[in-house]
Amino acid sequence: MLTRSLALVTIWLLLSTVFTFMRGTHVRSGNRLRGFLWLLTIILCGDLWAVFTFGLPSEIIRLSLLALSFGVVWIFLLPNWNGLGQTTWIMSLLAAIFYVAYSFAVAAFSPLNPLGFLFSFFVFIAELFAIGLSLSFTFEMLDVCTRFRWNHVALPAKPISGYTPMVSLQVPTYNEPVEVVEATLRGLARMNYPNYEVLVIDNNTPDEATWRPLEALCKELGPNFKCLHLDKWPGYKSGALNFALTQTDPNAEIMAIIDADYLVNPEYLNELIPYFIDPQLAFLQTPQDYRDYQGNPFLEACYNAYKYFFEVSMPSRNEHNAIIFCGTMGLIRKSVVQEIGGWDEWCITEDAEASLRILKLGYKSIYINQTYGQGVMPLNFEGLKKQRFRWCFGSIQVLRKHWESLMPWAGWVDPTNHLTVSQRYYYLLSCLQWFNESMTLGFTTLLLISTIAIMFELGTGVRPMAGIIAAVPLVFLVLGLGRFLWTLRYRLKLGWMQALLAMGSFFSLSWVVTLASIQGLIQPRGVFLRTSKSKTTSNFVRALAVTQWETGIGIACGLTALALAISQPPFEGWLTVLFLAWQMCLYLAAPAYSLLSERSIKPIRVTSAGDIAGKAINETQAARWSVALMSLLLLGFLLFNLLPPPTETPIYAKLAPIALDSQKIFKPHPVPNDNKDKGKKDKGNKDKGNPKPKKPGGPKKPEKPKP
Amino acid sequence: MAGTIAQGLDPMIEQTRELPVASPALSNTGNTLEESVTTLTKELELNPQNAAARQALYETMQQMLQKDAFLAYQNETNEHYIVSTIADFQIVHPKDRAMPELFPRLEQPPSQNAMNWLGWSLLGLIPAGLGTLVCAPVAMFAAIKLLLQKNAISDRRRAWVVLGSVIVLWLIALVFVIILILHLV
Repeated sequence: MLTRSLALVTIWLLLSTVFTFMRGTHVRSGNRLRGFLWLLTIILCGDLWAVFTFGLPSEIIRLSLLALSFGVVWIFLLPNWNGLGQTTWIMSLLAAIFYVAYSFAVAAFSPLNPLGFLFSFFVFIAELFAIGLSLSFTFEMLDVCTRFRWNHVALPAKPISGYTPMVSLQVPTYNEPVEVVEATLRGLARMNYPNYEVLVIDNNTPDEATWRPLEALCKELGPNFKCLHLDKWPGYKSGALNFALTQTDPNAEIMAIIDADYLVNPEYLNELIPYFIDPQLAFLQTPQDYRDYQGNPFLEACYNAYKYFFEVSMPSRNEHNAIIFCGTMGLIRKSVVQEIGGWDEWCITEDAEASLRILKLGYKSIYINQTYGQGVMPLNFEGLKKQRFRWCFGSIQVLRKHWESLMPWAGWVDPTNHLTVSQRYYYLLSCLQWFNESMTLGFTTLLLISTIAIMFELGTGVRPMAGIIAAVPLVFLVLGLGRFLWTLRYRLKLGWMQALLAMGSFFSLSWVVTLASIQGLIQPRGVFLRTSKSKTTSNFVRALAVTQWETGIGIACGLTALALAISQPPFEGWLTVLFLAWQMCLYLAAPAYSLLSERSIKPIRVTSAGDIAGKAINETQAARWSVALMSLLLLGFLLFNLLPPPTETPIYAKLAPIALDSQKIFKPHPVPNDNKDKGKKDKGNKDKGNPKPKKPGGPKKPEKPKP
Repeated sequence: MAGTIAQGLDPMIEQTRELPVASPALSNTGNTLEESVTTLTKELELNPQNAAARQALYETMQQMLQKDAFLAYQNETNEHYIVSTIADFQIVHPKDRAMPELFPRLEQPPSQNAMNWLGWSLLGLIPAGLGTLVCAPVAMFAAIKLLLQKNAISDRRRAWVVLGSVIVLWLIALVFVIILILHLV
């Protein structure tokens, strides 16, 4: 029953997702009745197909009623989504639940030796975690693409007569080219707002010749431009900003952080400061935008990938007062920063960490989805890696520090914690989602180990999943990728090729995110990544040197897939080939983008000060933990293959789910009665006495990093 | 960090205390900018709510920074920064913010041990619940011990959370371990 249920739920998921891809963004209204009717339609369509292929009518009715009741609850919980979005979410949840149940049954009741069971159980736990993360991405995408009612959309405000509080615009700099900062400061001098100061905080720039011109420029621009050079200052950017609090005009009520390369719209303060008339509003964020990227495929892909966060994640979070303060192009109440004790000098993403502490105090935040400033896209691929490493590492630091505040019981244990359920959910997920890449590497390792073991007859596979049901993870993967592309296309208004390139930009960083998420768990203090360098002048060699690890993993996946394909494997083997080919594309995206970036015109600067916050850590050194984990998996696999498999079908194997063959899924089939089915089930279990080795990988979903 | 470096700063702060207290109005007129800063700092130490002194300190610092923007870090305490100007003049400047909770904490709360064991109990589920079967009773014991002691209300509540969670985890682990035993026999 479990196998058939999973197959039917997968069909429902397929149907609902395909219709959502086609019409989900066009339906701009909805109500509960329409949601229910659409859910019923999808269920009946799936049922119709099931009745004529493999299903048992009584089973189908039971499952359909279960899905309907489950769906009704969610239709009531998600009143602002259209019916297509609601149904897709319900089916995603059901598919996840049934897949987890199926996967557990396979892990627990397949005839394996004890070590084999332990290994298989470990894979199950990893799958459980990966599916949970995948659901969180699905929710976010559906939330912004199928929502027809936005309750917290904020537009630029009209100035309020007599309300012009003093604003301190703080420009932290580190070793910045003078001409870049000059453009920024001259832009700030044109601000259409009567009451503001600009504080340039030069943090540890070693060469006096670099920062002295900034001092002179501030004098030239007038009395409300102030310059501060901090020498041998600890705490990186946060340390400097904390001292800057003491040099901020005592009358200043609001502070704004502006990156040194941002050209800010003169109306920035005029249109946003009025929001601060609400004393509960602690911070406001606008998108970080970039300029001078057009015509450069690498920068265009990066631009669209950056934009994802401000077009998808932030609007979704804003609906739940759970946005992140991202520093640049954000405004924050000075008294609140003082109340929380300033910027955290321990965390390398101090702005996001501060926003969590602020929301904990019960303050409000707001996101205005309108661009007010554009910076220079500063990155080549090496810089991109460093920046992503910092974002991920910082998020894991936030998780380590605040995990207990995000737990369901946190409000009861600590009454001063005013975080709502939604805020806890979003902050916890924004930290945990980074581990998706570690999962990807883990599944890649399992695929490689399992495939090589099968080909060289070193033992059995990890997960004895057989039959057409083994294709379910592939369906999840394809739907996940489709959903990602659909969201990129709709929210960012991209063409197919642009969306694909943006998606590739995310994938190219999979390895570095893996390194950072593992390092974040191990290192107590901030570290920054030092990538491998090549002394050659060849762009090609340099691009590959920066991405040697990703290239190595990608090639390993490709060669293994090729070898398996040549060996003419059965159906399940071809699925493994497809998964390996996918992993190859994912990791080879890194050298491809690195090459693309080397072809481009050299950027003004490769990294910003934040990207080198902390102790330097060599990429090879950082990779040793990943390699250790991969070796552990290999060792575990070899160990369980040392013990022989059970010689007879054990009694518990009767609980293992039956296998469905593809004939039953794709071809009309006489409706079996229960007895016939039982006979089939027994046969299926006998087959499992000598199960076909199967790929161990679970579903892998597209993932997106967060600043 | 601030706690560990405070010792070395005490003499410096003491020297500041020995300076005569001047009113903010006088501070800008009679002394050099550096001396004015020191005097105002002293004033603010005695009366942190003195808005006039705060404003005067800010203005004096700005005048000084207008002359030269250079400030070098020397040290800091929970309440002060010790910085030096390009002329090597040391300034003890008050911090203008609340003291944040340090992380990692210098002193662990009494419930930390129980929470750590809860974490291990959760991770113990990965090897088919074997780890949980061992760690959960230890966590349970730590939580009960915490409940029997006179602790802060938050620590007691944390103990209840640990107790409830590890009981659930232990029961889940038991199911997994039974399945493992099935594979053994």
